[in-house]
Amino acid sequence: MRRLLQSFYDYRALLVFCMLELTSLSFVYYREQHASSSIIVVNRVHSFLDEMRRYFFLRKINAQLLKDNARMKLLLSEYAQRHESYTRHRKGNSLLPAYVVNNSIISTKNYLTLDRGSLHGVVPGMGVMTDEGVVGRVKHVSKHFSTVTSILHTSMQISAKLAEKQVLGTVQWRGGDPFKAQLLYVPRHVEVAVGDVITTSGYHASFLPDVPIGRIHSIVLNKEALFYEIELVLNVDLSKLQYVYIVKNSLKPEKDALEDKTKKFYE
Amino acid sequence: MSSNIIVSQMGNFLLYCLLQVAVTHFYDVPSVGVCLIYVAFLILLPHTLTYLSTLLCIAFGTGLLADLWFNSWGVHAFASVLLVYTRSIFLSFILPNTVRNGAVVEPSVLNLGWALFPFFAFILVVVHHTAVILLDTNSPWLFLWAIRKIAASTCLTYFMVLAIQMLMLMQLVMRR
Repeated sequence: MRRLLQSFYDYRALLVFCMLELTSLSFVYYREQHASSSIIVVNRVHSFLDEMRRYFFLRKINAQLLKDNARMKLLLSEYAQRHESYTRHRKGNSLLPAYVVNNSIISTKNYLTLDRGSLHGVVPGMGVMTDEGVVGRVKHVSKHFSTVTSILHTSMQISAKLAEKQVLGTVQWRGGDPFKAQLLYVPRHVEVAVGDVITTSGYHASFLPDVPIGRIHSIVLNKEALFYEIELVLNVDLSKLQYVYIVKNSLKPEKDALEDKTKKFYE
Repeated sequence: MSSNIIVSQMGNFLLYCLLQVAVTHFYDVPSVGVCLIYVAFLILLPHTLTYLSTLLCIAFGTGLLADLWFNSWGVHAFASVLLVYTRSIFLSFILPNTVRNGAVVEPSVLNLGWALFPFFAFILVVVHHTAVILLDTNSPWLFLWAIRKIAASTCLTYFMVLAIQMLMLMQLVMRR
């Protein structure tokens, strides 16, 4: 017994090493199952640093705001011209601006943290976008913060369409290059061209219809495939996100409830 | 270990934490590679075989803190513990016997020399970054992408580590 204990003592470093490595690995696999970045302390530190950093970028942010403002004015005048379609599309929608306090694009499952939470009326499932295009969907909400499953998350799917032809598809990122994603389920009889614009379909109540997602970069059509393999360049550069808009759709719960009811009826 | 060493190491730890925060927040090119400068703290920890388990625990704690920062539970902790263990094996080969038995050695440029230290630091940075990026990517078909990122991140961190060593040496020379 004594010799056993003695040998344990002699190899204590190796034992500690194995133990710590196993603990770390179990953390890694735990995280895979409970992915979320809503640890309050870390968010506080990040938001403090971000405030500091934002101070240095005020001029840049100002320029961006001015540019956006100009675009908005242009859009407003366009919308005023087709007032009817404006009210039809935008019914029940409002946009809530939010700052990005934490962001990642390096992993295969990326999340953002925004400085708006349940206090500001954010609910899981809401869409997140910028003027340039779609960013992601709200996953978890705390009082002051919310985490967003980024479009750069391998299990995130967004209902999309080819803007010109109105053909439906699904946009999904497969990891790797943070500027490119795939457009799935576009049937082979449709004519597609490089450079075509892809927008949201608006069938999912998280997003407004016709928000740009990206442009077609390359098209592959295998001999016996039913669908195209389309790669698109994303409109939004997620590595440079400063602020975003959360899409609040007051009619979403009603629409979702009705759709669920129909689904349940036939199951 | 004397209290002197412990105090100076705590100072070092804070310094590297601040440096890491500054690097990730003001110099940010995540699609190319990440600079994990906190690794320098682990590489330069005073080495002693008698306290190896303590060193491993310190590495684990440091790694967890980095995980908290990068929001990646366990990944950095795993890599940091691996780094310190590899380091002890490496040092037991290259250090003379007299130093090996219980004495405290800080594996810096001063003690290892310009011939050995760059090699020593390079191996450790590669081990650490490979572990971090492979665990984080966690997908076999992104392997090439991961390799590219490991190379870029290793370069970033490695040159930061060497630069810090240069600064320390320059400071010593100035004092004399």
